[in-house]
Amino acid sequence: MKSATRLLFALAMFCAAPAVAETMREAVLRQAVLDNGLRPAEELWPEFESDKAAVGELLFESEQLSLTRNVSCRKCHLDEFGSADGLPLAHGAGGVGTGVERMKSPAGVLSRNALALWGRGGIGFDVFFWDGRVDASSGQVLSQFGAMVPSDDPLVVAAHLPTVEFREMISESNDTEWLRQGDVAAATQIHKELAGRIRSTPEIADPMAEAFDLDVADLTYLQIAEAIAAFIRSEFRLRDTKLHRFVFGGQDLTDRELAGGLLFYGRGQCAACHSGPYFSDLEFHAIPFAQFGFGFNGFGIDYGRYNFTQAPEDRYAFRTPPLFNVTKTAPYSHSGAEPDLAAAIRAHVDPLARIDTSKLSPLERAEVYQKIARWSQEPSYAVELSQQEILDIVAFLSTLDFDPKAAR
Amino acid sequence: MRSISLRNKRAGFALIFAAGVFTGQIIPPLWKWTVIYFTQISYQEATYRCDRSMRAHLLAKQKVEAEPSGETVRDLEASEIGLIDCQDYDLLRKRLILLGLDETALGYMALKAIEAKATDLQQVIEIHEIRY
Repeated sequence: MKSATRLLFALAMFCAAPAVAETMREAVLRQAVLDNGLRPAEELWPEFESDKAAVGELLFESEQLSLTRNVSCRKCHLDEFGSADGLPLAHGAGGVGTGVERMKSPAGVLSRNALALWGRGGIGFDVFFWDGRVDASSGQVLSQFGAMVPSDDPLVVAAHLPTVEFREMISESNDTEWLRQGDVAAATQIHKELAGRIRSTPEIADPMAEAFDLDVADLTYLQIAEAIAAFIRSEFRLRDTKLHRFVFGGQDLTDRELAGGLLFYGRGQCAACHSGPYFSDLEFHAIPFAQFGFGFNGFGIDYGRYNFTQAPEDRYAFRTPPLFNVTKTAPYSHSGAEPDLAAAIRAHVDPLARIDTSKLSPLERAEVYQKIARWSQEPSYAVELSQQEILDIVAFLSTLDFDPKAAR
Repeated sequence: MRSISLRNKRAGFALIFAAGVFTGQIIPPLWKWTVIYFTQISYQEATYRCDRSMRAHLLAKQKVEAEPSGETVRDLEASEIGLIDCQDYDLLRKRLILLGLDETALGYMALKAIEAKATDLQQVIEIHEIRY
């Protein structure tokens, strides 16, 4: 009996050994993930005041912040689309419903894809929007406000912008034509108008005055932006993912996730830009995505970062998007031209596979050449990946998903 | 009667012996070619991947030497992870040896791999040219 037990024990140990032992691949991936900046989600949680966040939620949901009273922040940042809107180009003021229904409605169409909000305002997250129009990476907040920057908190500054953008939160009409001058004075005037509205909305103004320890009459747009920033910091803070549990808790990944991770940090060169705790270096890179829509610069052209720096080398460069919950935020790229994640990865490394140049006009082809010339300076330039390898990377990226509802 | 049956028995043994010798001579190469047939594509791919990763690693090392920077060091680290392709290649080689392939068969498969991926004669020349 004793020997039978010994034999069974030996067999169990023999079978269990490969399962418990860390393989070389797992060790390499864990180290690469750590070397590239992953930290436990809680370490990135920013400080925020919960009563201000609660008011921020009311503001986030309110159409009062639209000068033309026909859209709220929430309409483009929905749980079902990973805190984005599921559309190639954001559909703002005047839009009705979600998804395709919204596209069919008389919404103002923006020139870029709506960004997800995960991690915004977290510790170290200091560059905002596709073109980095609010950028505190130098320690000083650079924005369209110039020297009149309303706050030293870049997220608060960022919360000043959507409400003054045409088509985003303001419908185009004869009544709003005067805003086309687009200067700081016009923005200030809109902010004053919106603050006045909020002051006369007791269900928001009263808790807001209490949260900021001010009289209702003293509330300005600055407090509105601070409350929205507090809400974003609370609602969209990162949570631990399967990758966190793999790195910090020893949970297994599937073979495909593991293979994808090794490609992500190895030959795929993805981590050259998608690094740091948010899986973004928060810097600007040019990937020759196809352009969908009219483009920020018109006629199907979007020069990206160049629009704010005026530096020719910044043409076509956009801020590296963070990757948490990335599987939920299709379509991809600054103009939402890529319908799924595999296509978006293919466009990073092999853009001509995604573009039928014979169907392009000479202008469009010239744009492709310009983008490819700029892309040639990027680490992802001409990386060879098979379709299976791309699907492995997609599997790895799915380990960055978390369920915000469950975490709330 | 007895001598006929003895003769039949001997003929039977001789036949079995001949069949054994024949099988012994035919089956191993047949087995080898069957294994080669079914694994050639994976072996080609693994050979190519390892070669590609080694070249990328060499280039990354040269870049670090020529221009040391955070970017080139990061590139080198990524290329080191890429060398796992060569671990996969080695593992596949060992598995093929366990399945009965010898160095000659593996060498044959490697040459076929080079031929399959080469776009010109250059690699064939590199293998065969006389170096002084």
